[in-house]
Amino acid sequence: MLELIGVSKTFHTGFMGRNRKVAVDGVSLQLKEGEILGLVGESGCGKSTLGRMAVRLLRPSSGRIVLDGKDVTGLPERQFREYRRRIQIIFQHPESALDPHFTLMDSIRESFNRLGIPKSEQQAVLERLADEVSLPLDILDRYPGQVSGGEIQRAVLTRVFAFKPRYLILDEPTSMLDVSVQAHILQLLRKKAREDRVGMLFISHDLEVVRAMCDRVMVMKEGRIVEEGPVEKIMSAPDTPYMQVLVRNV
Amino acid sequence: MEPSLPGNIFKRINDTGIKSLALNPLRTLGIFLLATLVLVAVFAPWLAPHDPEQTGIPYRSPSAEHLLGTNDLGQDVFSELLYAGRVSLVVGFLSGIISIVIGVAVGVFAGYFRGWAEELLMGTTDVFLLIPGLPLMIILAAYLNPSMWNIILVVGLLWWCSTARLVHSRVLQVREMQFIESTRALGYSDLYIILKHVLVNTKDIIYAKFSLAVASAMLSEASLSFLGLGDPLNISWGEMIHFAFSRGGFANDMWWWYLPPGLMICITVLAFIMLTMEGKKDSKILEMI
Repeated sequence: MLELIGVSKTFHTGFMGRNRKVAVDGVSLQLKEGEILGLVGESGCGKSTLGRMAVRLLRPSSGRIVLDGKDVTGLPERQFREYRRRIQIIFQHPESALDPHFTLMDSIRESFNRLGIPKSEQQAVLERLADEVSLPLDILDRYPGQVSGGEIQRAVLTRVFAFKPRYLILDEPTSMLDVSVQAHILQLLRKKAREDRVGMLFISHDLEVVRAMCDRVMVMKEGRIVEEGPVEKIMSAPDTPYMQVLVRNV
Repeated sequence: MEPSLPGNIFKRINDTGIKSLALNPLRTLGIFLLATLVLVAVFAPWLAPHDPEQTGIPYRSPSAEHLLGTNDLGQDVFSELLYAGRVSLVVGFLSGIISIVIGVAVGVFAGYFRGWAEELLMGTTDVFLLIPGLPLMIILAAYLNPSMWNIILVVGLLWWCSTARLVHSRVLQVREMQFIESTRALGYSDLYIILKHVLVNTKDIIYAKFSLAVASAMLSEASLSFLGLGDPLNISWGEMIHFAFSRGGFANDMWWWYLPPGLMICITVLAFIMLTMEGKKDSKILEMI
C-alpha cells in the first residue's frame, strides 16, 4: 500500500525565500494495489504537487510517505532508487515527456538499462511490452517530434511498464490526446490495474474520465482534501458545495 | 491520429548537425575557412617558403621571393604569418576551452541544483561581469610573466561569465521539462541526467558560445600582444602587428607587414562567428521540431 500521511508542501519564492506558497496542506491518502484512486480539483489546487511528492520528485515539507510499510520520506535518494521500481509516474504533456534528442527506442532503452536487462534479452522484452501497449515497432527509430501524442504516450507506457510498477501516478495522462487515442490509453490503464493489480492515483480535472476509470475519488481544493468517497457517490451526490459546482458543470 | 513528419529528414538533422550543413551555407563556409586555417597552421613548416627566424635584407616590398616582403630584421613576412597562425589559434582554442568549461560547469551546477549554490555562483558571475574585461586582462598580463600560457589562462579565466549566464538560463528551462523528471523517476542519478539530457539539450548554446569564446579570446590575445604584453618568443598575429607598429611598419606605410596579420585575425574571427549562424531552412525545421 502507498500511504501519504499528513503531507504538506510549501514553496518559498522571492528574495531570500520570504514569500511562502502552501501548495499542499496536510493531505493523507491510501492507495491499495489494484485500486484506481481519482484525485480531482481545479487547476492549481495542488494535485500535481501531491503526485510528484508521492514519487518523491518533490520532498514534502512535512508529513510522511510510506511505501509497502516502509517510511521512505527521508530516505537518501541513492537508497530510494530501489523503491522507484515499485512506483512510477506518467505526465500530462506527451510533447515534453521524452527527450527530443532521443529516439523512442533510446528512451525506452533507458528503462531497460536501468533495470539491468541484458542487451540480448531487450528485444524480446520490447516486443512483449510494445504488444501490450499497441506501440508499432517500426516507429521506434523516430524522434518525439516525428510521431503523434498518442504514440509518444504509448512509448512512455512501454518505458514505465518495463519496471512492473506496483503503483502508478497518472498526472492527467490523456488530457492532451484526442478522444479515440484517449479511450485506448484509458482502457489499457484500466486493464493494467485490474489484471496486474497496479494501484493508480489518477489525477484529472475531467470528471467524466474519472467516473469511467476510478473506484474512489478524492476532491482537492486549495491544497486540502475537502471530500472523498466511492466514485458513484461523489459524482451523484457530493456533500461539499465545491464538488456540487464541479459536478453540475460537467 | 496526428500526421507524423517525414522520419528520415528529421533523423538526419537530429543525429548530427554536420549533415544539415547543406542547409546552411554560412556555417559551411565558416567550417571551410576554419579547416583551411588549421591545416595551414599545422603544415606551416612545409608550406612556409622560408624559415621565419632567418634574417636577410630588411624592409623589402612583396616580390616573387618574398610574397609579403620582409620585416625590419629581413625575415619573410609570409612565412612568419603562417607560423604566427599556430600561436593565435592555440591561444584562441585553449582559452575558449577553459572559458567554456568553467562557464558550462558554473551554469549547469547553478541552474540544475539551484538553492544557495545558485545564489553564490550566479552572484560571483555577476561580479565578474561587472569588471571591465580588457583593463583587467591588461593589468594581469602586465604583472604576470609575458608567456603564451599566462595569456591563455588570463583570457580563459575572464571570459566564462557570459557563457555561465546563458547556460544557466537554458538549464533552468530544461530542468523543468517533464522528461527530466521522468528520467529521475526511473532512478537515474543527477550526474547521468546532467550528462545525458541537460547538456545534450544545451549543446546548441554551448557550441555557439564556444565559437564566440574562441573568437573573443583571439581578439583579446591580439589586443594584449599589440599593447606589448604578448609572448615575444611565440609570435602571434597580434604580436606581428605590434612589431609592425613599434618598428616603423605603420609609419613607413609597409602594408604588407601589418595588414596580412590583421586580415587573418578578421577572417578567423569571422569564420568562428559563421559557425554560430543559423540558416533560414535550419531555423524553420527547428521550429517544426
